[in-house]
Amino acid sequence: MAASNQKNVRIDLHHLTRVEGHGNIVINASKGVLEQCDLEIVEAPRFFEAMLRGLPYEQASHLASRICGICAVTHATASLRAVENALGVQNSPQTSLLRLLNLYGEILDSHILHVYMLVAPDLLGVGSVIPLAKSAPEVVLRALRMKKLAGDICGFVCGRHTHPIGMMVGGFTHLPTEEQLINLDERLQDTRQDVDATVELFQSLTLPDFERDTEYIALRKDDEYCFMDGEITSTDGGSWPLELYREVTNEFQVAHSTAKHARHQRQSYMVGALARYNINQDKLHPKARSAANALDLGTKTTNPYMNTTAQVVEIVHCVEESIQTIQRLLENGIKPEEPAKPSRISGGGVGACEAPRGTLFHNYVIKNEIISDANCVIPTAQNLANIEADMQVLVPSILDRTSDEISQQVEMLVRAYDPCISCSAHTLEVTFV
Amino acid sequence: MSDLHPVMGFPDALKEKSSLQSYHDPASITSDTLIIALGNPLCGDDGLGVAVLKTLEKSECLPKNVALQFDGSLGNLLDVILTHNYRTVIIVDSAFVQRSPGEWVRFTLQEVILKSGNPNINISMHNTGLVEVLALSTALNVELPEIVVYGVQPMEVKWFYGLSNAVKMAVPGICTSILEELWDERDSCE
Repeated sequence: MAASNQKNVRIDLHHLTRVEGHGNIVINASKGVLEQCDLEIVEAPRFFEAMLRGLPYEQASHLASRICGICAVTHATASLRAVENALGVQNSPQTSLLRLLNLYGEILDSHILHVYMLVAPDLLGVGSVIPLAKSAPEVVLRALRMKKLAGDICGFVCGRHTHPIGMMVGGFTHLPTEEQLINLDERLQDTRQDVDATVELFQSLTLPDFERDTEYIALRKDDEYCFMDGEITSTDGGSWPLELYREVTNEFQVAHSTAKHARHQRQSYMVGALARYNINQDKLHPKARSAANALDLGTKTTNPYMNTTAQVVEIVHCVEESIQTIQRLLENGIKPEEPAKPSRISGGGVGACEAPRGTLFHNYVIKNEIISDANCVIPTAQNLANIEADMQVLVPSILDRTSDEISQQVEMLVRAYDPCISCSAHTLEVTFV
Repeated sequence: MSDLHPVMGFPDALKEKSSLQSYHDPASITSDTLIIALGNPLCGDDGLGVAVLKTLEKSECLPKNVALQFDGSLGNLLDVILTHNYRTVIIVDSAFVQRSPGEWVRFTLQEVILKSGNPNINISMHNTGLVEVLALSTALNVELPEIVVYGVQPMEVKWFYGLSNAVKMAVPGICTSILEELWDERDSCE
């Protein structure tokens, strides 16, 4: 790469598209030497933790869901689990099953959006989903069909997907009817054709070839592919109870980002579908494991672009697990329940869920039924340092390409993480005069 | 009612009232009509849509086959417009409609030309607006529901809870107009 040895590159890509929120990519290479390679997060801080303080615990999940319109169910569930752990609430099996089904619905909704609407246009060489809809309408219609079903899962379980209203501490204010569950079961079985077509589509697409090993972190349970509770687990070894999440996340501030960064046993770590796959692949539904094999996901996959592939595998898994969960609910009979009661009015607790884009923590301290302290650690914030570490390895290897080609490759890398930038922005830049 | 916003007639779909499993439930797949409030109540007059829906929710005249969606964001427009079987979607929002604060206009998408903030429509599907929904439906050759927009000229959109007096005074008239759309003369609320 003689040409790249002397090359000057300046890329200042303001407002990265097809991600949630506002981020810029800044790359500066002088005479072939990379001098700057930043993912700037310029989203305004949103002060949700401050707003949670002083709130009665019953209201926390409704405010927390507003952190994100895509991951609203996950934020609400993590918030409820934090309160329930703080106040010693023991949920019924029915509540736990419905919470899980709700999370499957949200994972499906978000992953379908990401793989079809945000990533597929890159891989098919079109600028966005609009030209894709013209050239391959059946692909976009399939995505919309699957997305509607995913949204209906959440709608039936918790009233609505965006900002759910049916969940409360210790249970639900609203339950799906037996007819609704049967409706979902039938439609989920029908959607298997669309799921198979999704796997076939991504078998036919080529992702960029780039490998960089890193630390992968996800929740893990012994008896299921974990999306809620469990223990924090690392591919570098070790597992930690949820209460020790700060020992794992180690958030810190950087000058170019209103979102914090995180690091654990290396300079950065990755959360999300690929991390979950690397840690929990032995817990996948057999059909999802077959899909992983068909899509060439290895025992440990270190190509971050394949986060999208792992999402496709999770689509298979969540459809199959949703069917099984609904059948268990139907076998048990869906029945009204009084919400489980708190056993105390003060305490501290951590709730953790796997959001579509990675591990999410909510940590509350409650005093006399009022939240006195709150900390939320968002998946995208945990991924930012890892994205930059990827960029710092990727960019020098492609400096011989044109600026447009470098930009596209780096944009695709950031997009592969499915970042939700608005959620991640926490910190406020203050200039003293 | 001002000349600015004539009521355009009554959708045929609403002349027959259907029995419903769920009342005002956005998750319902049986509602004929969805009314969406866009906007943030913490941003002054941007909360107009929510104020209108709260008034409609309390009205005994709201037909049972109408779903209300309060969530305020554009993010769900793609889902609700393209993938649900609503016959009519009514969107209520503050909008710069070149009128005095508090004056409002009612229009269908066939009556206007919408401009995207991004001329290339290189969209983020995380936050889909009407322009993107229209572009996608055209590309897919998908028939849209009738989309009606009530746009109200705001006085102020800034971090503040509550509406300006001018916009607050517009709420009853908008509600009346929406209810008139939902009922015909033979089959009225009275």
